[in-house]
Amino acid sequence: MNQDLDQDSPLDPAAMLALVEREQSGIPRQMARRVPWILLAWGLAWFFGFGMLWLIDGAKPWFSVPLPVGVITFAALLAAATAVSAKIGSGVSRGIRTNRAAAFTGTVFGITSFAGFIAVYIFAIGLSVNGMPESLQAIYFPTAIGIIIGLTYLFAGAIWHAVPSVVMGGLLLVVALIAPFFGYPNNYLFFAVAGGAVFFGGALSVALYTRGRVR
Amino acid sequence: MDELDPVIHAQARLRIVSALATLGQGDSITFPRLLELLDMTAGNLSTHLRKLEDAQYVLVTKMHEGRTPVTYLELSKLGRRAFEDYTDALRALLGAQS
Repeated sequence: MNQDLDQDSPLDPAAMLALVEREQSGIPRQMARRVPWILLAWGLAWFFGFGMLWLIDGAKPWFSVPLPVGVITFAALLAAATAVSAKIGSGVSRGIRTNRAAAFTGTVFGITSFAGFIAVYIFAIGLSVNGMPESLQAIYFPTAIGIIIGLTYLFAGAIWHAVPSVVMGGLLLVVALIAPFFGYPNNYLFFAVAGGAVFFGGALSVALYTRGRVR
Repeated sequence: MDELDPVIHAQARLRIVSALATLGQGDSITFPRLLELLDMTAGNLSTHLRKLEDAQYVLVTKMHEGRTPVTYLELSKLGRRAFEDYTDALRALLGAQS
């Protein structure tokens, strides 16, 4: 509690201005301290989850993961990452009450992201009804979901002025749009490696930022 | 130094106001969370908050969340303006000195 020493007295103007700048950059860093764990959880979920989906057909004839095992592992990893996000995310905003406009923005943002996932699912049903073959679903679903996730990160970065989120959103969009060109099942491998790398890179850059290594 | 606001021109109160100014206008923070972010003692934070509240720079809202009493702290419009004027004055002073 060194701050208690002589806190009623001012320093010279330059030191006081430095104190303002230190405090104003330090508070957001402290608040984001645990965010890298969220990004690390998603990186692991993408890397191992999409990796398991790729292993269903991607390494044949040498090795193959049974379809239910691959799908269930993928779903379980996504659920675990969602739980980590919810737990840590609530801690980040702990004790802070936003004004009405910000609360409205946050609520609409959350609903819009969720609606995006529902929309791509309903769109897939519509395409299936109109003859989309099953083989295309393995291309459509990850890319459609990847686009929604990329846009979610982009908009989050725009709303809350978070540059790493904008960069990650842009990169995830690129990953989602390149993946179909690898075809099934290698699109899953691309999602695992490139998508996972985006999250791992995001976790590292936010970790460096919270430790004051980057501005 | 005459033009520097004496309410803000103290290390502890400047830290508090700087921290509160990082929140959006109209956003508030609980006393324990601010305590944690500033790494001050509860007594010290309370003392300086009272001075800021007396100057109407900080709004204190006491409420209950369930059965738990919670105190929210927020930089008032007057406090935000005073903080901006203070940092402008510091920069002007430093500019004049250099």
